[in-house]
Amino acid sequence: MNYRNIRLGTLLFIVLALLFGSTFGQKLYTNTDKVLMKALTDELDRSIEKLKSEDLEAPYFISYGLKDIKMLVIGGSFGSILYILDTPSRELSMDIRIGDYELDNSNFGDARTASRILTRGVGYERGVTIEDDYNAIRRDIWLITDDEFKNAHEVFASKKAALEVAAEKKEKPDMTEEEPHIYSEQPLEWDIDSVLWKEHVKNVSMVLKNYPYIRNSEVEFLSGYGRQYIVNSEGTRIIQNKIYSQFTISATVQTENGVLLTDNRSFNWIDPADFPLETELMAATDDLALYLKELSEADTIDYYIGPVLFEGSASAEIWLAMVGEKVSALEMPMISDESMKTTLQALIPETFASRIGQVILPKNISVYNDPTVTKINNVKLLGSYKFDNEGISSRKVELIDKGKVTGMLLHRKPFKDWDKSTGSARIGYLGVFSMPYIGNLFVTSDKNVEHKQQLKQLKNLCKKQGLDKGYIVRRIFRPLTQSELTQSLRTTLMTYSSGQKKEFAALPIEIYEVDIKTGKEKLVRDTKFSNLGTRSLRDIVSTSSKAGIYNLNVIQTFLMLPISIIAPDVLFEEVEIVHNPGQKEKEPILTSPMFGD
Amino acid sequence: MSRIFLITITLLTLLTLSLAVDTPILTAMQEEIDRAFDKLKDSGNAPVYYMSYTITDVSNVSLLAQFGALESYSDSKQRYMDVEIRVGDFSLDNTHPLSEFDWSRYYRMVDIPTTTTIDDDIDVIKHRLWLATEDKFRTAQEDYIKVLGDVKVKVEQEDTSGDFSPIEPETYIGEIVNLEIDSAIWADKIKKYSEKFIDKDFILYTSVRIRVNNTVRYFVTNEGTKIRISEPRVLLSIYASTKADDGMSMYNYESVIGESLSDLPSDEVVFAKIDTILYNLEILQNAPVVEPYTGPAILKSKAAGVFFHEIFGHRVEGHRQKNEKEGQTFTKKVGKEILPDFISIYVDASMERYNGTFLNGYYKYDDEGVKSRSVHVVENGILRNFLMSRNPIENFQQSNGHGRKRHGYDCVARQGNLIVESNKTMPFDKLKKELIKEVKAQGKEWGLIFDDISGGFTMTMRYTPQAFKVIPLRVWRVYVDGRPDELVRGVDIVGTPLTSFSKIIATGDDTNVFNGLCGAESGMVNVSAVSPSILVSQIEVEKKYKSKDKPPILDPPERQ
Repeated sequence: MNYRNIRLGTLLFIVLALLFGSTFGQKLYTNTDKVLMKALTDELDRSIEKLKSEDLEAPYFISYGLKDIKMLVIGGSFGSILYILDTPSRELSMDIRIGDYELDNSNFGDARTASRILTRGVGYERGVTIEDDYNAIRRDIWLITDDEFKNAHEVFASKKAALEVAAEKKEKPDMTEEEPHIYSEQPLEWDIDSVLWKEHVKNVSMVLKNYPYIRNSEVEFLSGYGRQYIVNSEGTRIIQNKIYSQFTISATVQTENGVLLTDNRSFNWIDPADFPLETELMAATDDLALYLKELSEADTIDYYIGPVLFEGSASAEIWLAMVGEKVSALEMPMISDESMKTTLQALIPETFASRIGQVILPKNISVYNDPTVTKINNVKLLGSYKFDNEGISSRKVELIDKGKVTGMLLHRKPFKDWDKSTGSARIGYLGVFSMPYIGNLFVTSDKNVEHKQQLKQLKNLCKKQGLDKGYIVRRIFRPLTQSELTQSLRTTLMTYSSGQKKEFAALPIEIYEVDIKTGKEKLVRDTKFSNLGTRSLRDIVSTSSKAGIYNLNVIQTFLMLPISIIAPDVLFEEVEIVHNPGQKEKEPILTSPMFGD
Repeated sequence: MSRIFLITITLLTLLTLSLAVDTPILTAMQEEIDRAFDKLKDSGNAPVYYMSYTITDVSNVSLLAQFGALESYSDSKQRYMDVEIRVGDFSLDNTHPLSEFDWSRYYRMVDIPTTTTIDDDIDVIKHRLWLATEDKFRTAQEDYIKVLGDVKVKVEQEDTSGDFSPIEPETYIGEIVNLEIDSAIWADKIKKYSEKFIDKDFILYTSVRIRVNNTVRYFVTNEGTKIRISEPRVLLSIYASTKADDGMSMYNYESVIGESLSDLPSDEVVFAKIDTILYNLEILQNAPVVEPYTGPAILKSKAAGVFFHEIFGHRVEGHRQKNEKEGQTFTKKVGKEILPDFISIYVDASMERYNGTFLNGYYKYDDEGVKSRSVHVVENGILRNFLMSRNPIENFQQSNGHGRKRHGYDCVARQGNLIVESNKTMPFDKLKKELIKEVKAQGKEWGLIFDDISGGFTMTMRYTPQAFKVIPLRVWRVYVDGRPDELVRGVDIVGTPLTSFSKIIATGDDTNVFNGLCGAESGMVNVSAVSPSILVSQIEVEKKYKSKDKPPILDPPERQ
C-alpha cells in the first residue's frame, strides 16, 4: 500500500465521517463510543498525514488500542475484608511503524530499547483521561504518538545500521498486510453490587473459621469490564467488549513436618448474571478445607517413574503447558547486543517453531485453536473473542494434524512460510505491542478410550513395567488470588534471575497413588514432575473419549488472560515424579489466637 | 464565660475518655503482643527481649486533572502491619549490621508490605499478627546467629554502643481525625484550575492533583508503650512542563500540604500560582542556558531549606555516625564549629506550624513510640547534638524521637522539621545588594538567585562521592551592570557539605517553609525544612541532564 492511497483513503474517510456524524460504517452506541472513536480516528488521521519533518519520514502504519476499564476486586479473610480495589482506568497502547511492510522499526532490540522498557515497564499501555473529554483525550494521544514516533525513528536507524553489518540477511517482511475490519458491539451491562459482593466475600471467608487447622486464607472476588477500541491507519475500526468475573477461595495448611500446602477453589463466569450462589461458594469452601486436611495427612513419595494418568483440570494444565504455550509464533527479534540476546533467550518461551512438519504427538491426536467458538454444551468459553488486539478477526487455526506440527499462531509478524496473521495477538510482551497466544485450544483424538478402559491401560502398563502402583493426577495448582500470584511472581522472577528455563514448573496439588492389584486410590503429596518436556508427548498412550471444558485465567506478562482448553484426559506411558520439598517452616511456637489450643 | 469554658473542657474530657476506651485495635494488638512475648521470650536459641506491633491504616482519595478533564481518580484503604522482634539483648541483637551485604535482609526489606483487615475484626487482626510474629521470630533467630558469627571474625567497630536503647513506655490515645472531601466538588475545582493550561501551546504536560490521606498509626510494645495517632494530610499540587527547542524539558511545580482543607489556598491564590507557573515556563522555554559556574549566589528561603535538609540534615542522623560505611562528616565534630556562628539549627517535629504554615514533618510520637521534641543540633555554628532513634551511638545513648519509617521498612533516625535560624539577617533587597557586591568583589559579571527548587539528593556513603545535588526550578541571573534579572535554565547545584557551609556569608529575614517528602533507607517520610534565604560566596552549578527529543512535531490537536 503506498502513501498516496492511504492519504486518499483518509480524506474520503473524513468526508464520510463528517457527513454521517459518526465513524463511517460503524455503529456507535454511546456518547463514550462517539467521543473515544472520534478522538482516536482524528488523531490517527492527522498523524498519518502530517507526522513528519524534514529529517523524519512519516509513519506508514499506526494502530491505537484503547481500553476503557471498570474493575472491582474485593479480598477477605476469615470473615473480614482485607482490601477493595475499585478504580476506573483508560489505557492506550499504540504501534507506530516507520519504513514499509518489508522493513520497518519493529522486531529489533538493542541496549537502548532495553533501557526504554525498563524505565516504562513491560507493557506499552499508558493512562489517558477517564472522562469523555474529546480534547483532553486527543491531547494524550498526540503526546504519546509524538514520543513513540521519535523512538520508532531511533530504533529504525539502529536497526538499519545493524542490518548493514549483520552476517545473516533479513528474509521476512516485518509486518503482514491485512484487510481492515469495521465492527462494533453493543455495550454490556456491568452493574456489580459492591456491597453485596463484600458480604459474599465476608460470609464465604467466614466458613474457614470452622476449620482451626487452616493457617491462612484469602477469598477474592474479581470482576472487570473493558470496552476495547481499536483503530488503525488501514481503516480498521473496532469496538468490542471484554468481560470477566472470578471468585476464588484459597487456604493454606501446615503439615506436621512443616510443609505449607496451599490450594484453591475457583469459579469464573462471563455473563454477570451467571454468578454462583453463595451456597455453592460456601460448599466449595468446605470442600477445600476438608481436602486440605486430608492432603496434610497424606503420605509423601520419593521417586516414581512410570505410567501416569492426567484427569480433569490436570489434563487441561498439561495440554496448556506442553502444547498451548508452545504454539505462539515467537521469534527472537534482531538483537544487536550479545548480553541482551542471552537474557531474552531465557525469557522467550520455547516453542514448536523448530518442529514444524515434525511429528511430536501420537498420530491419532490433533490440536487446533478456535476463538470463534463461544459456547460448547451451554458452557461459555472464556477464550472466545472476535478480534485480536491488532484488530484482526479470530479464526480456527490447525496447529497439530495427526501428531504433526502444521500451524502456529501468528500476530502481524510473518513467520516461516506464513505471511498472514491468524488473529491471535492477545498479549503485550516486554515492550512489544502485541504477541500471539491461544484463545480456545481444542485437543481431539480419533482413537479415544472410555475412562474405565484408560484406568485399565494404566494398570496394564504398570504391570508390564513391573510396578505395583501407578499415579493419577487430578489437579495441578494454578495461583489466582493476590497473595498466590505474588508468591508465584516471586518464584518466577527468581527463576529468571537465576537464568533457569523451566520445562514444567506447575505443581500437582491432587495426585493419587493407585494400587494395581486392588485399584484402591491413595492421596499423596509433596510431588513435582521432572523432565516433562516436548519429548514426553510421544509417550502418550491414550486419550479419553470425553473431552472436558476448562476455563482458565492465565497470567501472561503480568496480566490476566482468560483462555479455554477443551481436551481429553491423557495417559502417559512414562512420567517422572520426584519429591518436592516445598515451602517448609518450623511449626508455630504459639497457637493461633483465633482458634486457640 | 467561665461556665461555658468549664463545660467545653468537660465535654472534651468525655470525648477523650470515650476515645481512650474505644480502642479495639490497640487492645487486640496489646493482648496478642503480651501473649506472644510471654511465650517467645524463652523460646528459641536467643531470648526475645523486645517486640513491637504497628498497624498503619492508610486511606487515600486522589483526583488528578489535566487540561480541564479528569485524568484519574482513586479511592483506596489499606492496613499495613509491621512486627518487630529483637533477640539477644540491648547491647547486641539480631539487627546488628553485618560486615558484608546480606541479601536475605535486603529481600525482606523490599518485600511487599504485609496487610491486615480493614474491618475492626479483632480475631483476624490477632491471627495475622500471629502469622507475622512467627515469621519474624524465625528470621530474628536466623539473623542473630549470623550476627554472632560476624562479630567473632571481624574487627570491633569503633563505636561500641549497643544496638538498642531502653526508654520509658508512653501511652497516647489520640483522636482519630478523618479528613473527607467531596470528590465531585473537588473534581470540578481541579478541572477548573487545569483549564488555565488549555490554550497555552508551550505547555506539554500538566497535572493538578488533590490528594487526601488519612493515616492512623497504632503502636504497641512489650515494654508497655501504647499509641494511637492520627496524621491526616491534604495535598494540592500543580505541575506543568514545557520543552525548549534544544530538547531540554523544564517544569514548574507548586504544592501546598496541610492537615485540613482550611490549609489549602483560595481559588484566587491557586490561579495566581498557575499564572506564575505559566509566566515562568513561557520565559524558560526560550531562556538562555547557563554554563557550569562557580560564584556567589542567593538561595531563597525554600531553596535554602532543601539545601540544609540535604547537605546538613542527613549527615546528623544518628545511625550514620556509627555505620563505618558512612562518610561520618560530623561524627567527630561535636562541640566544634561547623557553620558560621550566626546560624543555629534545631529539628523539632513537635512543632505543628511555623508562623501559621503547617509543617509536614510534624508528629507527636515517632515510629518507635518516642515523643517528639526540639533537638538543638547546632548552636551559633557549633555542633551540639544528633538526631537519634533508639539506635544508640557514642555519647548519645538515648532516642530524641527521630526513629522514623514508612510501613514495611525498618526504623532509622530521620529528620522531621528542620529549622534554620540566623542572627545575621537583613531584608531580601539588602541581601541582593550584598550579592551584587560579592559578585563585583570576585570580578564576575553576574551572580545567581535560586528562587525555588523541586528537591535534591545527597550521598553519604564512603563508596560514593559524598556530594549533594539540589535541583532548581527557577534560577535568575543577576547582573552587576544593572541589566534586569534574567531567568535562565539548565543547571543543578552540586557540591560537598563542608566547603558549602564555609561559604555562607549572610541570611535574609524572609524565613519560609518547604514541605515535602524525603526518601531514604527507611522509606518515604513527611518532612519540612524552614530557613531564611542565604547568601553564599561560592556555589557550584553543573549542566542539567537533558533529553535529546525535540519538541512535538505537530501542533496540539486543538490548534490544528
